[in-house]
Amino acid sequence: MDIQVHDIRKAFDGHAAALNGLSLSVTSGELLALLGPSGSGKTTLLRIIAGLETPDSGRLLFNGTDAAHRSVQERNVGFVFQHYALFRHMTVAQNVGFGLAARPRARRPSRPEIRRRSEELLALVQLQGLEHRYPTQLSGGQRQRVALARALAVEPTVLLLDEPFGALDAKVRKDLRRWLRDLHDHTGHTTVFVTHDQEEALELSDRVAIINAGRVEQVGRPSEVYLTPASAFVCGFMGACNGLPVQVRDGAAFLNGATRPVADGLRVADGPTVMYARPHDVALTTDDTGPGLCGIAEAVRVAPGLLRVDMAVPGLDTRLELDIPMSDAHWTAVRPGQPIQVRLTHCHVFPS
Amino acid sequence: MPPAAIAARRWRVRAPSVLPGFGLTLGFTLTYLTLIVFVPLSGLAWHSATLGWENFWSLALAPRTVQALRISFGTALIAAIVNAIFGTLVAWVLVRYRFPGRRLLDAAVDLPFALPTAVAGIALAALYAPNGWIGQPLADLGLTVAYTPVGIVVALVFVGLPFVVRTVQPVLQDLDREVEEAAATLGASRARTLRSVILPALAPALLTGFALAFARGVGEYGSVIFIAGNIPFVSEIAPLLIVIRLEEFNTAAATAIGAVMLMLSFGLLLLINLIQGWSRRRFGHG
Amino acid sequence: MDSAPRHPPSPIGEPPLTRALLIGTALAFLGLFLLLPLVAVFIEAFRLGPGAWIAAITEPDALAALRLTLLVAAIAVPLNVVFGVAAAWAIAKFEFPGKAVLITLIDLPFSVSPVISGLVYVLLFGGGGVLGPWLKAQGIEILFAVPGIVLATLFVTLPFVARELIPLMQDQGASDEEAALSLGASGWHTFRTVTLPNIRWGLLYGVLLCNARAMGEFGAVSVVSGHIRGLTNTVPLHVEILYNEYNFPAAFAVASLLAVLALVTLVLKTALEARLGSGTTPSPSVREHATAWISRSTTSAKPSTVMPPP
Repeated sequence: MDIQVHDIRKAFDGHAAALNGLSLSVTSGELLALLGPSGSGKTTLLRIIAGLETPDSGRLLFNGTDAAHRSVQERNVGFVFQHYALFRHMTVAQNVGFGLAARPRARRPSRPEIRRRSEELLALVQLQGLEHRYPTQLSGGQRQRVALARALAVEPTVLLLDEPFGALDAKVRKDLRRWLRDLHDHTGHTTVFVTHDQEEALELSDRVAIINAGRVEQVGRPSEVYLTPASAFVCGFMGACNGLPVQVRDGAAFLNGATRPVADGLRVADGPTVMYARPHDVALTTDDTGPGLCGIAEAVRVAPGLLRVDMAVPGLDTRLELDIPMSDAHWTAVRPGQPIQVRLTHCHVFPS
Repeated sequence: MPPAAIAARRWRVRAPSVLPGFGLTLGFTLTYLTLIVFVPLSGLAWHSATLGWENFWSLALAPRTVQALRISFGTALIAAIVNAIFGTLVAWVLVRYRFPGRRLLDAAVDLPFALPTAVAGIALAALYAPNGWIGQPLADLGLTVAYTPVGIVVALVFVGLPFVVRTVQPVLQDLDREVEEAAATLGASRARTLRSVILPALAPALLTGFALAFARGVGEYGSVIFIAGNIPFVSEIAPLLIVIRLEEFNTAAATAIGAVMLMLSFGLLLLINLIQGWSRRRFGHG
Repeated sequence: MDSAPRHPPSPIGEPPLTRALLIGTALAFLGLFLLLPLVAVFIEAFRLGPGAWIAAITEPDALAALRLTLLVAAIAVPLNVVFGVAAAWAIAKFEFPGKAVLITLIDLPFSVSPVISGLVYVLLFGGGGVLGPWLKAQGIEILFAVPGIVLATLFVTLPFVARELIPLMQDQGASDEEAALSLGASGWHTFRTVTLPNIRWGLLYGVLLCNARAMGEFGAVSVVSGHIRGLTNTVPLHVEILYNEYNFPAAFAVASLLAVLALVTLVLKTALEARLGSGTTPSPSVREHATAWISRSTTSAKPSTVMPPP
């Protein structure tokens, strides 16, 4: 099922707008990540799609038809809560079978059928043999999978997951991530999940929607949003990013008071702007004729496979961060207090 | 753990602590408890034992005694059921809704704990007497409350209400709203959610509150005797019969009734603990 | 675009009508069962005007009853405070076998009918009792005298202070005291300057409830007092006597004093609950008998450890 969200607005009493004219479309069968900092409105969007929250204005279409007036019960979404919200007084099997047993009599499967379906789903989430346990007797990862099986049991048109791995420890999180990706490929449900972890979003999803202050900043494949961020926010949120305030003259960018350009050949109008470059897009150079920067290596730290350097640059208030791969023959020469020269291999300039 | 360590564990009276005063405080606690509670209560057991098996049961099973016990337990049961229903409703309203005067209402729930039972007793008697504010309109409808078992139930509802409200309220407060939302996303109607999700979650607390209200109702004296009319075989409660037997200097009969009531109360107490233990083991909360 | 789509009902709330109905029912129930009796006490008390009210409470027997009630509370409350603090110190700060049983025993008076609480003392000190004849020979009167009333009151109010302090001190642990001792403070000094300030609001709470029950106790005291006017009548017993003599205005006048005591207790209790922490939740008010039993289970037995933490 595809989902269209048009210009949705939502404000909670006494707070700034949680959603501020947000539009987004989810394509049938894809695994979409809603990525954003806490308070950006991503969970509110998920809850609006589920029908747990009512938007103040805007339109919500499921397969092209208006879904805004449909109650949660009618929307048939599978929702996995961050803390799972399992029914503590029910066994695992009863939890999974709840949605089927709660159907009106006419559409309710028989008891043996419900049992068979629960067992099938528990097999799918690899929890065979735990049917008669209670939620308190399960580990966090197992609870997560019960919650998923319970949501899948109602044959949802869309699967919505709120911070699905947020409450798990790092090791379990990584395993479950891969497992969820496989499960999605196997079942083909349209899936939307909320996360604040960019690594998780990049690794797991087909597409990522980056949400900030109640709006979508950018939607695209993980490689797209990482390599060609559409805004300074996206650039900064999708990994470390250096911001360099520069003056542009005839396509060349100059730091304050500098005569040598930081970069040239930019297709940007003259005037002040900010250039963004990731640490791995800053490289050591010995060529002092082209564009580049000179400065002092202030702090040098070793990380697996690379050297992290904080570099002080005249005319720049903040330290420039750069990652020098150990494949670079000159890395051993970089010592704290030493002058170094760098150039930008890649940078982004966003219209203000 | 080697056997020696186990033995050491078993014989260790207390965990090593640098804090002083263990012997003093525990010694005082045990002495005080023995003098005030344990010796008097074992006096009751000793007296019951000296009555002899047959004598004891003939006193305990005397028709008037059995009827008084039946009235005490019957009215306490009905009052506890009323309280289970309305107490849960009050707890729900206090936790889930915001309305003017809510805090005041919340504080007022404890009134039966704070108001001396004799005061409650005479106030209820005055209200429900045939010429009282409530008794009069009821009398016009042909209903009598005061001086009947219904009057006893009214008094016990007053006394028992806070037990149910105060046990259900915190559980309801801690109930995760997401669980209700989860039920809704799975297609359950509100009524279905209430029946299959909320009520079972409240059940252990509700049962505990019910049992506490019931236990209190069985032993209640002060608030009941004024409204009950105290007609033997009709509205005479067991605690009152103890008092009557004592006034007749029939200590043996008073002892027998007291012992039977005490056994039944302790049975209830045990039941409450079992419910709580079971619920804690299963759901991780009590 | 139409900016106001038809909203589905909130998924986990009730429609306004249901909500109003539920609130209305709760208010009606509480009004009928709690408020009305309280109001009735005051209206009946002043039925014959303030003059009659003053006359009723300044009558010599009423004053004697008042004095006795104050005396009983003045003996019973401090004794149970000492007991409560000692018991809580031993239970909360140390580990020893049989702790759970001890906590259950402390709660025992709550599960005993007040009449039985009186009865056990009659059996102990009465003419046919264990100690009765010996005490009589020594010329010591306990039953139908002030000592009996004090003992019965001690019995029924014994758990209040301990019940408040045990969970509180268990939560606080022993680290503050250990720190004080490591700094060279004596045990008594540590208790006075570290423990006592930590528990003062909980202690006050226990004292408040203990006092309310001590002054208001009826059943247990009624059994042991003998109802001798001017001598062994407490205020609640005096109310009963006046009521049984059909002197309703006087009975309610004296009862109104106890009702004021109840109201003051409730007000102070609510204020203390705010002090004790979560003023927004009712959990701290889950006290007295109800929680005596409920919180016991959370303090005496920890949840089974075979399950992983949630």
